[in-house]
Amino acid sequence: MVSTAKKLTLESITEELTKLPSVPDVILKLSQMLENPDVTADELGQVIQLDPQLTAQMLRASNSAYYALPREISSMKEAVAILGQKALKAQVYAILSHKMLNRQIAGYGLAKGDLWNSALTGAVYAKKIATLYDFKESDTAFTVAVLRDIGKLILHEYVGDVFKDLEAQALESKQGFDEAERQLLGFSHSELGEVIGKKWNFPERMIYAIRYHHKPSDMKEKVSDDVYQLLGIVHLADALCMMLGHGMGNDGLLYAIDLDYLNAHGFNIDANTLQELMLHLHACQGEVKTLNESIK
Amino acid sequence: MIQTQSHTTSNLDLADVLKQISSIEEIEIGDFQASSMSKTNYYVKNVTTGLCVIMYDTHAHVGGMAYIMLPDSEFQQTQTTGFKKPLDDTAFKACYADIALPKLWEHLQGLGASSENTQCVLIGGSQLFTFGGGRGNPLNIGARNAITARTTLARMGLSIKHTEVGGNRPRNAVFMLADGRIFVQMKGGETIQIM
Repeated sequence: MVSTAKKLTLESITEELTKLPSVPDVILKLSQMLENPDVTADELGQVIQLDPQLTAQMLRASNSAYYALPREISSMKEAVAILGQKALKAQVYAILSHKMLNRQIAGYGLAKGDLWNSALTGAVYAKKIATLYDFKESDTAFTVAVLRDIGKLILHEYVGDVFKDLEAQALESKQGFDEAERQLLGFSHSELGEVIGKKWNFPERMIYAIRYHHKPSDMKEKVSDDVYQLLGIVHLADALCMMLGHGMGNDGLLYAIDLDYLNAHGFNIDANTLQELMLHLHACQGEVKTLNESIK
Repeated sequence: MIQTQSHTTSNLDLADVLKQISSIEEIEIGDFQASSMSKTNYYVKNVTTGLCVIMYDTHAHVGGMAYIMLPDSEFQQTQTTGFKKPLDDTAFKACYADIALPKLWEHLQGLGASSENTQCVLIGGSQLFTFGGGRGNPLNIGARNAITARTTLARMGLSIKHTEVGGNRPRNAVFMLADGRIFVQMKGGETIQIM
């Protein structure tokens, strides 16, 4: 396909990164602290309290029906102790995702709120899928899924002008919109997401999930079984989000589901499994709404 | 493959149509509603593999909309997935075409609809691509939804006036009970008036 699309280069990406909305330092610091299993509730509480808005958001989220705690939490130290570090990490990334993604992403035809809705729904779905498949770290599944489409923040500026070319390429190749982006624009939104994740020092497994969420079988890095499973969970959550119609842009269902990868990693996706997963995830809509209300 | 029939390109964008309506009820996936009130307007958004089915009696001016998720309820009796937490299938009845459509029709008959005067419209049923998958294509849920809807409606003696199904893009639709007008917009595309 011949296209007149303006291609992205490493230099132009560096410039684009400077245009991204700024992330509060406290959130970046917290995300790094939460990678350390030895960090204490006191240490985390002290950092969170540096940002009163973040403190209020996290307390509101901790006391929401999503966690269904038996009593009210009144301090972040208490929240860390009761919810645990992994749940708190999921909360921090959900708040970061809201700050970054709750905006209009015109190139993909996403109104304000659509990308955030897709991010949050996919994260809740990833957590549910992890539980259904007995994956031990369901909060980690939420965390790595919630920023999977962050690369669209940059790429949407380039996608809008050549959308029809991208659509035609995706339909012709049947390799998906993500691959069409890479071929016509030089980078896909998954690859740009990886660049952003590295710039902000996201955890490695989150960067893998962002980079390979549309085609996990492309991953060549050797990782632990947990990470392979995590990638499958995020990929499946993303596909089911599209199938259930959440946060859809003009790119719609122009993506593929990687059945070879999923079935090689124990997900056993046949028609019955897929239908049952859809029903289980449909039943999570209340959780998505509750969490959304508590974070907004 | 997109299945579409003759239609009129609307002068209005779907957003303009929505602005002109004072009240509208959004039908979410796994739900259906029916009404005989002329001021009722139904709206459905981001229909992908699911299927929106509209029924309208052109004489009695009663109508309804169902947004189904899955083709048939039979698989729940033969499920082999082995997830530890079983589904409470009673909570999902309106998700299935074979259950939701007869229920919607029962409601409409209660409001005075007759099969001779009722026309149906199918919207949605799109699909993802697949990489691999030697075990058949479990993702053809959109196409199966449309097939099951057709056979279920035929069994009930209802005719299909128009279909806008297939493809890879989400669709939004508005159904106005006052005059039976239906507007459909494929995301990012033009708005068409199909009835």
